[in-house]
Amino acid sequence: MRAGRNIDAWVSSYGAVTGAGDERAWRARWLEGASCVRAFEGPEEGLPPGYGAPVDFTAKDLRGLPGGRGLRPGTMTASTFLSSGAVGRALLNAELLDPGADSDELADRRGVYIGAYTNFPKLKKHVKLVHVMGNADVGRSGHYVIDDHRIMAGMKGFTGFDFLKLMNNMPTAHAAIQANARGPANTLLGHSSVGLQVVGKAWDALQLGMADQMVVGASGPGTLEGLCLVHASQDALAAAGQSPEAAARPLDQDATGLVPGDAGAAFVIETEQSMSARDASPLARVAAARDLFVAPASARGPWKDSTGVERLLRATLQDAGWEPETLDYLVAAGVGVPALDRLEAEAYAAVFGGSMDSLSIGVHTGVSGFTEAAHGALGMVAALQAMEDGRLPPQVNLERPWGALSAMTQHTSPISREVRRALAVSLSPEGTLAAVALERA
Amino acid sequence: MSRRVVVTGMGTITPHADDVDSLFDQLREGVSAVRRISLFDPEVLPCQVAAEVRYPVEVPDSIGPYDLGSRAMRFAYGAAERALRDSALTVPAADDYAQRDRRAVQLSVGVGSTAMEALGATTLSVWGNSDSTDDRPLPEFRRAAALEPQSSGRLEEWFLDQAAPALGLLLGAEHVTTAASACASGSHSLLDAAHAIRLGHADVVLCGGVCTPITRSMMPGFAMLSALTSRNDDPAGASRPFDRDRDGFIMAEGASVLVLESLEHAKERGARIHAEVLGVGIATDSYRLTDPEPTGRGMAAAMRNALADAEQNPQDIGYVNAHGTSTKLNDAAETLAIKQVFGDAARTLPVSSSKSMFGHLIHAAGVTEGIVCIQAMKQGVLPPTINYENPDPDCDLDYIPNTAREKKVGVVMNNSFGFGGQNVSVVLGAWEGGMS
Repeated sequence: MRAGRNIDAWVSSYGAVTGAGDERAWRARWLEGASCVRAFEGPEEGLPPGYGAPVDFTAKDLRGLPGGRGLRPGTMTASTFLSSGAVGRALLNAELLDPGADSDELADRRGVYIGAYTNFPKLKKHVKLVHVMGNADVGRSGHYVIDDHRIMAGMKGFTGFDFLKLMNNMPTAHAAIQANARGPANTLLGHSSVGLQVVGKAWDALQLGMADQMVVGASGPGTLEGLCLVHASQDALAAAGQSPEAAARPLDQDATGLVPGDAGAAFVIETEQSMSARDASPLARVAAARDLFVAPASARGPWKDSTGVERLLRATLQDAGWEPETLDYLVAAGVGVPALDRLEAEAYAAVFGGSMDSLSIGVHTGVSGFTEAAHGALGMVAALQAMEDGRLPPQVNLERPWGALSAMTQHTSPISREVRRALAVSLSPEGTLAAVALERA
Repeated sequence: MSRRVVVTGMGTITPHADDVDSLFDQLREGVSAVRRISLFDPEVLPCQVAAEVRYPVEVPDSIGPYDLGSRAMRFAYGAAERALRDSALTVPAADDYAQRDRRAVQLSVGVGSTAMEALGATTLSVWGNSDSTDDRPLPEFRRAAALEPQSSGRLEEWFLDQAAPALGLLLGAEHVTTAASACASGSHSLLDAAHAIRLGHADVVLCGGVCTPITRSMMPGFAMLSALTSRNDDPAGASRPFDRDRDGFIMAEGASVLVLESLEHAKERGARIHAEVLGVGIATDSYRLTDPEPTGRGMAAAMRNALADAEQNPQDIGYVNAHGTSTKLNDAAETLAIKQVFGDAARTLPVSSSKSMFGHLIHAAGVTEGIVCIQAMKQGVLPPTINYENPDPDCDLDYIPNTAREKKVGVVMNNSFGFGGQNVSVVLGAWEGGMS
């Protein structure tokens, strides 16, 4: 097998689709210190927790983005729709406006990795499937018996694409068509950390010479009924009845749980040679990308302590060759579940210790909720935006930080700071943790 | 100098058997594992045959916080446990972070064991009661107070991202990745595992795939895509890759797992080595979601990339385990792609499809067929393509028709191609106790 090449991986573009709009609108909302969480309306009105940050991104919007015309929304779940929206934004910002017209040589050297929690469908149609097939008293006993002879009656109204689109690789398959990528492609499955794990996979692909340009991203349709119900069953959701705008309180002691949000975020990561060939400029170098698995203490609980997060942070800084005090900006995970947030805060205090006073910590969950697999990737977008504009957005709904973070900057309006080195952190409740270190170009 | 990657453990839960020797014995004899579906009554389905795991798979109830109760979790854990036992690896202590940091899990997963039925039933239990009439309006949404513990458990079956963490605990690994590239997934997990070792990220990687797609909704769903056979009256003859009368694939369930190690690590602990991963190749069609690119461009690119990665010439390959699904489009495109890559030598290159005997294990297919390749090298026997009766002018290679062939081969290729145009090829080399 061939050895890897020792080259740098550069982020040249990013894009996002969020509850606040695209990546620019999201930034503007955050700089205003405002949340885009709102009460659920219509059929979702009774869905727990009663509020969230859904996206307002349409098929027409997607068609207007690079590669979007080649896609059919009928073959896409909400997850695929969000990843394709983000990929389209990243391609647009990279000025890769018509990737389908690129030469075979370019297409062969372009790859795609997308992170997604699960390619969950809208449930209503599947409720009907079982409604028609089934014959039991589900609500009272929790037991459901399906009449096998009614299977095809239940399938009435479905097409093959209803099943095809549920395949877990569909976000990547769509993105590959959209970006005209014929190189390596894969879909990573998991909670928020996969949005950063894809960056590590892109780095690997470039090192191994499998590609020169990687389009990577993640999608998180957090307000889907199924995901809200799962989180509700885990007692992880924020309490009902709160003011929606104030409900998402990452790293805040008064948080009551996570607030669901929708998002997709994507990046173009490439070699220097690839950028030179199209006169593109880098935004940042990927200095390190790390992941680490620590099993939670129980099916519903977090880890027994913060040592796993600490080891992740130390290993990432070591890979990057950075001392903790040289970090300018850390974009935290801040899921909003108190037990997780407390451990995260403890880990920062343990790793950054004396340099906590000079470290700026940002967390975006207060703006657009917990966005599942896209959450970590959105944190990386935030890090890149701070490098670009030298501004640190205000904390949103962070009034009583966990004790270990009490020294952290409390500001309700943006502050200026040059950001050369940044770390994006993502912690998945099922046990996978990830971090990406970025150095401004 | 790149680190060499070797296979030191194999474990499998397949429709034929739960150990690699018994599996290969049956393949060598050309035995089909395809039967009429028994997991539910398939009478009204367009496709009523599949390759099921019909024996009990005993595993613990749980590992750490992860419940092993679902069919998919049992299969994944069962295959991994067998692979680990085969490798004779021991689990590092819980606080031995240095060793744990050098271990990883790379698993590909398909849909959950009860998939959409569970999804719909669970949601119904939240939404409200219903009867079974199809013209009755859907019940109104009920609030989360209606959530019952059993319901949430069912919903979580959809999220198979817990399988890889469970195997992470089993191996004592600090790095866990779950991925999916449809029917290429299993080989993809092997590719990612080999890369992790090659780049020095890990010394030991447990890689594999699991899929449990024989469900009330997935069977008719795939039939709607015209992907499945309709030969319900002849289960054993239904999967007929490369045959003129092939009409779709056979859905199968199971899991397969390999232990990959760096050669240095394996030698240091005196491990038995089954084979070497010489090269891996990947390419994407970027064409359509279901159909392969008709000229076989992406498939050929994956094979060429794997050969280049292995630093092997086409004539070095002694056997190809084809993706060979038994669909019209795949088998013709794969044949074209093999001809593009192997040129004139393609006519005499032995190629067979194990799917003729155990159907399509989807996410578990690639690693299962990788195990078949390794057993073929070890035993000097190439497994056949059964049910090959009528030549198809579009499929004109040597498919090892119906009867296994005794032949010693040292380097083989395994192809895996998936919906969404995802193509992975792997080149494996025999291990003779020294250089391969």
